[in-house]
Amino acid sequence: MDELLGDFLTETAEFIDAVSSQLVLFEKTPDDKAIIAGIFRLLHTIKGTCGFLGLTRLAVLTHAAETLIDRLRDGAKGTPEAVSLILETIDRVKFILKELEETAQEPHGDDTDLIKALEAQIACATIEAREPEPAADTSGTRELASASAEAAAPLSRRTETIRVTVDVLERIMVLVSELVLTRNQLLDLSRRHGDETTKAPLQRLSSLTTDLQDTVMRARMQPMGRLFASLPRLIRDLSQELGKKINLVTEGGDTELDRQLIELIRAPLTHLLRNCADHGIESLEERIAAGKPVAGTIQVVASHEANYISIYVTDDGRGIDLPRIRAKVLAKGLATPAEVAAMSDDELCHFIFLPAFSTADVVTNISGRGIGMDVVRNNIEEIGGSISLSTTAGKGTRFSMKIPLTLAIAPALIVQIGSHRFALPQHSVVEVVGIGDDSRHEIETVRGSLVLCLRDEVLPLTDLRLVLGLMDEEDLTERKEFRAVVMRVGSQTFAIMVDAVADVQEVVVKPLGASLAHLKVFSGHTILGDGSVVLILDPTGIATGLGLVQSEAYSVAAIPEAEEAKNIRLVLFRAGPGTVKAIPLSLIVRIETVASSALQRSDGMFIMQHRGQLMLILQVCDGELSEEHPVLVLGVGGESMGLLVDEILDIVEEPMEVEIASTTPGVIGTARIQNMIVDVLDVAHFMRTARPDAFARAFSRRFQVLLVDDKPFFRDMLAPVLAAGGYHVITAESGHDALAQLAKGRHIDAVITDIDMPDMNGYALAHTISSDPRFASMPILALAAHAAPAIEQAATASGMCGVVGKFDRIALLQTLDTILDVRELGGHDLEAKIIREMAA
Amino acid sequence: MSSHIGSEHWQTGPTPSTTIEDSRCFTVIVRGETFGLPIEAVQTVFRIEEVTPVPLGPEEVLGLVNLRGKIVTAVSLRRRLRIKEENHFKGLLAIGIEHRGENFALVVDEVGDVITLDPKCRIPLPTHLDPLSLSLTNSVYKIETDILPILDMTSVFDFQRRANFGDL
Repeated sequence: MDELLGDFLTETAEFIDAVSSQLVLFEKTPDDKAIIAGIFRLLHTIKGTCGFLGLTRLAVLTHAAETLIDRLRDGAKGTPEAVSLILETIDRVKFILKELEETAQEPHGDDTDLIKALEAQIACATIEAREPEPAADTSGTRELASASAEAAAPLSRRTETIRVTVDVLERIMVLVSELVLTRNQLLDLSRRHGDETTKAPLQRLSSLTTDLQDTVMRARMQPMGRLFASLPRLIRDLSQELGKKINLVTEGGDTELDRQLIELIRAPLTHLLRNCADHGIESLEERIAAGKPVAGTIQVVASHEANYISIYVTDDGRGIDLPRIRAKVLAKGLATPAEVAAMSDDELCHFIFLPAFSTADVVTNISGRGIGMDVVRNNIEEIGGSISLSTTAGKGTRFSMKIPLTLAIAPALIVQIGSHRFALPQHSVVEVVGIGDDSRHEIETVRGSLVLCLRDEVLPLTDLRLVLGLMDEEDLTERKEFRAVVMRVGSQTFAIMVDAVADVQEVVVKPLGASLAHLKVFSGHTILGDGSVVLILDPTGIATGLGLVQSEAYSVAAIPEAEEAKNIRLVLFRAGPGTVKAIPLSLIVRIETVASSALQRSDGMFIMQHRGQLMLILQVCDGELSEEHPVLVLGVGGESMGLLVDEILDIVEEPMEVEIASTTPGVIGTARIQNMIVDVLDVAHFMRTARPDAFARAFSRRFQVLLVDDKPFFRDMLAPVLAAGGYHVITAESGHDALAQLAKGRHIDAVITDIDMPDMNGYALAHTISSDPRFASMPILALAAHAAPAIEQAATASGMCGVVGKFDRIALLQTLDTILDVRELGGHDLEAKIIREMAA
Repeated sequence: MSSHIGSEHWQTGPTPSTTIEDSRCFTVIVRGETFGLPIEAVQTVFRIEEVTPVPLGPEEVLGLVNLRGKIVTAVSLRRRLRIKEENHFKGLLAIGIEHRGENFALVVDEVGDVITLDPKCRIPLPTHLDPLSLSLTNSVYKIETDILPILDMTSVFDFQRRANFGDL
């Protein structure tokens, strides 16, 4: 690419950023002459350079926008339309620039739409224009630097600069890293040999290296303001999209951060702001009702602290709905009720960083897709940072991020266990305490796990040897003295036992190669001063390994895995010749012994009088009946049926791992249980075999149906039809009567209603029922003299799930069957799915 | 720390022809068996003085080694081939190999020579080789009375494949 063009593109990108943030400012304070002048000048510069480089499309477009801004500068009113239009123009310019960057050619295309709109605005602006104030021009330009020092810095504060490619900086950084290592090695040697002659120059070399390291780091630093510059535009767009009023306050734009890190935190920061704007800040009405200022405020504050940067993102919105989180944690089975009750608000908040954990009811395109906060946390933790949040209901939420200054060099403790040494990044180390005979800190065992009693805190404690699986190769004699390193990851504090802390060193972090990258307890490796290689421990990885941090291990997706490892109670039995068979005990309600004389054969199955009802019994394996048989009574989804078997062998509790999946219907697969080869049966198959049969309906749990019709003739005609189909029928003679029956709390599985009724017709009834949250999922079927598309549409609109003709007996039963089967089988399928997943 | 043995003249020396049909290989010896490494893969030969073990790491990985300021992953060809373990870590002989951007040190018993492979000597993979060696082999040449398997770097450094041969 042409060098001139390359320079132009880089500079223009900076200009454009500056313009966007100024325009948003300008929309709020349309009278600020200084800002207008600034915008004008920036656009003018772009236009000028475009002309020079022969970029005509860009030149024409920026010219039109510039003319409009010129009008505004002359005193025309800055309407929101004008601002939107200019923002749109800038988006187009960005697009053209992007193409330019890729192809070095202006893309073909037409901007007349925008130019026309701009010209129309120019025309309006001219009419409204007041007397031009020539004085504003010059003074405005002069004020530019002070009014928007951050955004316009590259323009107005022309200090001597040269452009250096990032590659060169990276190379220098690598060299300095190597130099630091060599310096450390030299210092180490000098310490050991105690050579006085080299001591002074070595000291000098040492301090020079440190200075050089700092300087190179600073060369890579960029002000946070660069990141902040894009935020006003984001907030403006968000507030328009969401119909909320949001003010953005940024502080600490001059805080400097490694450029690599600035780019890495751009995405998570943007996502946080979206979250604050979407979930945090309430709607206008809500804010007024709560007596808050109409405009919400999102504050982004960056500050420099010791070896890291703190970034706070605070909103004054509704705060996080803790009861909702609590409910969701329980619903998803992420913690037991007792655990949830014991959790502090902060710990509870931490759950929103889990994958697929969104409390938003409405999924908007701003945020709330159930992905996001976990990604934010991952992004931050990947760069050695941490994120936490605190919230006050009704007052707002604050996200706190800690970001290391640089990724390349980090201070670390060198800890020792046995002959092994590891580097432990200092950023998560809270303190190191000595444990021994004369130590005031005690170690206790609580329910089999070690805890460290540190002052008034009780911290989970673990041996690093255990974490790293080094137990077997070291002598396990009780150590009298060791160190406990207290670490903090997210909101969790814990301690690990090491033999000693050997040193504190600045380590140059190098990522692990692909063949070792899967080891989550290590974040990288480094070379120490003495030339030896050490692995860098990852505090987050350790905490996750200990189950302290709610991480992927607790995610929803991981639950089936957790269950797989769990033991499952199985009933082992014999049925027919061949392999022993098994069924999970949880699916069996009870086991009964049945005399063959009580069984009646019907339609390939058996029927038995059972507690006053008929129960369907399937024989697992066809064969001659003996005098007595055990029957496994299955209760799946509220229905019961029996499985006739030959002999119950045992009930075992074993992890069920199906090793060979089966293709035979009714068998999930083959598992090895207590050294026996066992066929695990697919209960769902037997349920399905039994259900389609017309008898099954009658003999299994009966569905209760509410039949609503104003004419006794139809009630009397249809009730027996439904009863014969296996349903319990309750009748109602009007819509009001039906509602009264429902209100009484009678359990009803479906409503069948006539459409044409006096007083309250079928549609109105359906509408009333389906808008009641208690009956939201109630299937409602319409009865019509004939099924016409218009009726079907109206029925669907009022919340009904189908229309059948009054005289179409078969369609009525079939539709009802389908609706209720779908609903009822939903539960069965889930169970079937769980069993199948185990098989997979 | 590592001491350098042998020269590296073949490291940067121009290879007159790089076609697969007429290539050269570097031979290494493990348990008396000779294997060939593609010459392009071999960067250096050195003796490992000190290894930092990697707890929880794949068992083929002996540990990490400082090779002139660069951290390389030491992989035991013995362990990779499931041959009985050498017990000492000091003074191991290793071949420096860069594979997919990662630096490895392939630990062997002995190093041999650079051999030019005559395409005419290439033979089909013999079936009597054990399946594990076979899976790590790219091609086989017949050199006089011996056969020389040329190792496939991708397979050698792909530890995940180990799972397929877990029982061997």
